This record gives sequence, C-alpha cells and structure tokens, in this order.
Amino acid sequence: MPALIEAKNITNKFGRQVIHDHLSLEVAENEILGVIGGSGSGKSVLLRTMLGLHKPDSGKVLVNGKSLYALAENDRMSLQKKWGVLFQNGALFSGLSVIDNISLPLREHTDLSAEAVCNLAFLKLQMVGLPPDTADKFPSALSGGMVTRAAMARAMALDPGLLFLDEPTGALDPVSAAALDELMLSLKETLGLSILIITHDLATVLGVCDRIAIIVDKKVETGTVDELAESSNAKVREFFDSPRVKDALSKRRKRN
Amino acid sequence: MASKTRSSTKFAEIKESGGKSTLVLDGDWTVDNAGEIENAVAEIARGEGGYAVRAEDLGKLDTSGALLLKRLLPGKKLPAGLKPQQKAILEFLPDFAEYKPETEKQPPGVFFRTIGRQTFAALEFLQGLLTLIGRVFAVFFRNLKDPRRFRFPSIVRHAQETGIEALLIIGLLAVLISMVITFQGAVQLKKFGAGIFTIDLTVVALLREMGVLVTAIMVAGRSGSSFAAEIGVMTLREEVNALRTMGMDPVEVLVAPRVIALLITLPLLTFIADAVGIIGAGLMAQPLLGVSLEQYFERVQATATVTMLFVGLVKAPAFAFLIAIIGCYQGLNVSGSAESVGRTTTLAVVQSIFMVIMADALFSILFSQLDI
Repeated sequence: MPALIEAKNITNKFGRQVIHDHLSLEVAENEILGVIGGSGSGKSVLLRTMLGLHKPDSGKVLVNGKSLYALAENDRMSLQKKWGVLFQNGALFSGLSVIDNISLPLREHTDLSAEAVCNLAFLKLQMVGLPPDTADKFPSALSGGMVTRAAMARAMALDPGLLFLDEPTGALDPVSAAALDELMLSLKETLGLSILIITHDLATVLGVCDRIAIIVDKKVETGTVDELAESSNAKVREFFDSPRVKDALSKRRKRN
Repeated sequence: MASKTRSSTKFAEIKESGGKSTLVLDGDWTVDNAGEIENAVAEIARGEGGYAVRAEDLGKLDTSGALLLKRLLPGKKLPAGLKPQQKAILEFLPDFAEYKPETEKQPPGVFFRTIGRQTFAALEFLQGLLTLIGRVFAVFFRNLKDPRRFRFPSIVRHAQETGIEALLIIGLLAVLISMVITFQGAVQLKKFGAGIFTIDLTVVALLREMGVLVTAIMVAGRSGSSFAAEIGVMTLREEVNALRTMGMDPVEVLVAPRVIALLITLPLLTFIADAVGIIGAGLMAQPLLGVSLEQYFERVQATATVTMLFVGLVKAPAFAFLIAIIGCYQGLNVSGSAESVGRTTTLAVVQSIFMVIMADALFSILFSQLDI
C-alpha cells in the first residue's frame, strides 16, 4: 500500500537534548496507526513535525512524494487542508460557539451555502456523539470530554483523508471512549480514512489500531501488537510485558 | 430511446423515458464539489418528486456528499446501483435533526433593559471593588500579628517589576513633559516680558500635578494591565482555585503583595519623575530664557516649597492603591475564555486611569478648600 505521509530519518533536538535520532515512520492508506511511548518520549513533537509545524533538524517529511518542508507556503497549505487534526487540549477557538468552530473550515474552503454548512457541521456534531444542544455553547462551557469530541468533529469537518489525533480518549469516560473507537473504525471502513493516533489507551491500541509505532530510545519500532510483543528490543518487550498489557493481550487472544 | 432532459447538471440529472422519471447521479460527490452539488440538489428538489434514483455512475462519496444526497432520497430508500462502501456511508450517517439556530426573542424595551443591566453591572463592580478593598485591609491587619505572611519575596519581586524596571521610561517621560511645558510656557510668557516666570510655571505644574499624574498613568498602563493579565490567566487556569483548596487566601497571596509593592514604588517613582523633570526643564530653560544653570536652580529654590512637593507626593499612594486594586479585581473576575482576559485587561487600564484622574480632581478640590 502506498504511504500517505512518510517521516524519513527525522532528527529533532532541543538544545543538547536529542528527542528523535534518525527516526522513520509512515502512515499507509486506509490504516489506523497508533503511536505509543512513555511520557516525554517525543510523541507530540513527532506529530508536530509531521504536521508541518516543527521543522526537524534533519530528515524529511514526504507527502505524496513531495517534501513538506521544501514546499512553497501555498502548496503546503493546500496539503494541510486535506488533513484533520485533533490537538491534545482540543484547541477550540474560544471566541466561537461549537457549531461555528466546526463550520469554520467548511466556510473557508467550500462554496456551500450558510445553511448547508450549518447542517453539515451539525451532522458532524452528532456523529461524534455530542447532544444537539451543545451546538450553541461556547468551549468554556464544555467539559473536557465534550471539548475533545467537539474538536474531533472539527477535525472531521472537511472529510479529510488523513486524521491526526493527539490523545483523543484521555479526557473521555470509558463509554465515550468506546464510542470514539467505534467511530474511528467506521470512518476507516466507510470513508477509507487513515488515522494516526497518539494514545495511552490500551483498549484503543489493542482494539482499533492496525499497526503500532512505539517510540523507544529516540527511534521508532513499528508492527502489529503481536509482532511487537516478540520484538528483539528489550524495552519494547518491557512495554508489552507489563501486567496490564498482558492481561489485555490474553483477553484479546481469547476473543479471536 | 426518446429521453428528455428536464434539468441538466454534472452531478444529478433527471431523465424521462416512457413516462418514468429517473434521477441519475454522476461525478464525485465530495466536499470539493459541495457548492455545485448543492445547487444541483436544490434545483431538483424544487421540481416534482416521484423519480427512481440510479447511482451506477456515482464516483466518490463522502459525508458532505451523502448529506446532500439524502435530501433527494424519497422515503429513505437507497438508490440502485450503489457500491457497497457508498451504501455503508449512507447507512452510517445518523438520522440527524436539522440545525436550528437559537433565536433569542428580543423582548420589548431593549433600550431600558440595557440601561438597567448596565446600572446593575456598575453597582456590582463598585460593590466588588469595595469588598476587595475591605479584604485587603483585613489581610493587612491580620498579617501585622504575623509579619512573615506579608510574603516579602513576592513584594520585592513586584517592586522590582513595577518600580525599577519602569525607571527609564518614567524618567524619559518626565523629562519630555517638563521640556514641553517649559517650551510652551516660555513662548507665551515672553510676550509679556515675563519669560523668567516660565520656571515658576514648570516647577509648580510638575511638583503639584504633572509629575504624579504622568507617573500614575504610565504605571496604570504598565503594571495595572500586567496585574490583571497575570491574575486573570491564573484564574482561568484554576490556579486561584488551587490556592483556595490549599487553604491559602488569594487576596493574601496575590493581591496584597501587589498592592504593597505598588504603594512603595509609585511614590518613589513620582519623586524621581519630579527630580528628573526639573533637570529636564533646566536644560530647556537655558537656551530658551538665556539663564545659566545656577540662575535656574536659584529660581527653582525660590519657587518650590516642601508643601508643594508633598501635595504631589501625597497623592501617589492613593493612586497606587486604586491602580493595584482595580488591576487585581479585574484579574480575579476573569471567567470563561482567553478572550475574557483581553477584555478585563483593557477594562483594568481604562478604569484605573479614569479613577486616577477622578481622584486627582477630588484632591484638587480638597487642597483648595484647605488653602494648600
């Protein structure tokens, strides 16, 4: 399968601290890739690098075979338009109501009438499982989990081919988290989306992701859960050896 | 085949053959074409219904296309010839309600309501301000028993930020203002042959009014705004609530040190503004009035009195108190979003400058009644 986006030999440093050391990662078409790793292992920096927000110290980000950081501003923006991003704290615009937040990309990038934009935004709002009366609320009046879901709706507004999600289930209760997992799977199946998801949620990792990328020692190791559990790298195995993961894994094996 | 086209567009077309009408879908129904599709859909929806829908030629379909398509499907019947994935999208979309924006009915008498609401808001502001002043005094007297709770490191930090770091800009401002007064005074007074009284004018104006007023306005803009923004962001991020739950009084930890720091620095800044201003006026007076520096200072000595200096300086703590209290009050009253921080910071500056000038007017009346 061709890669939608590919990070090649990325090196990132902050001062003398090396975050990524010649790290490579790719997201294929129609797959859900989970990125995991301990706190401070550079998951969010990797995400920002792939989004075009943080120029790596060396290495390339390739989109459709073109280097993201070598593109002219306009070309880069038209690529970024085709992505949906859910930031860790939602990053909803505090001056706009929820419906306006979701409508914003639609208003900016389509020539739909105002009414159709609102209806489409309202549809996305219901797809992520928010009650209809949240539409006219402002982000400051929402709970953490609702902010996440509203941000998810905004990320999906333009029906992007590639979704980047930074810890979407962190602020969600188990029921909503399961619903979000379900949503990701149906998006992948019905719309053929690819999703890169940074997560700590075991259920998401084991239940939703096609492949896992684990950041260990400034490098990344990718594979399916079962492949990684047999990895030659002790630190990768350590992650899958922890009792909680083992428990979840054995449950999964039983289910299959 | 005899077929007649009723409406022709790229994406949806109604074809009639043998008395039966068929809606043929065509092209990519995606967000990129959404505007055109919407027009096509609206045109067809205007006409008669009763058509069968065929989707063999339908290209890509996404949620926005599916949403528009649903308007053309009578009785939720899926069109014939859909690919399995397209069928899945149409089935996947929830049966959603249309968005109806909340329309607030404007009750009659909006004008009077607004006046009433603003009056109450003003009263609330005044009440809040007085409450905060009361609590600051309460904290002050409570802390006298246990001076450690004045939080001296915090006071020193704020004194550094509001005082020492403001020295340069306030000194510069004082020099410029006194130069301007001297220049304008000299031009006018020379016409009456009373050029030397320019020095009297500048010294009196500077010591009694301009020194303290210019300093206070500068500090309100510099420090009043930063108090409001600092405390505002802390309120927004629930740091203030965190303090409360740890059994610490935000007024004692955040407000009191700022008030005390400004009470120390504003009078000192005023004194420096007075001194630097007199030197600035001297530099201007030399060429303009043709006096030597010694003559200039002799004249200053003859004009300036201790009372005059104190009339100016005594106002400084009052202004400092107003600026600090209003800045902190606005900061503590931030609610909701980041936008609110910007708004309250602006309010803090506008209100504190207004209050400073109001207070200055009251002081003028007081001093004239006291014959000072």
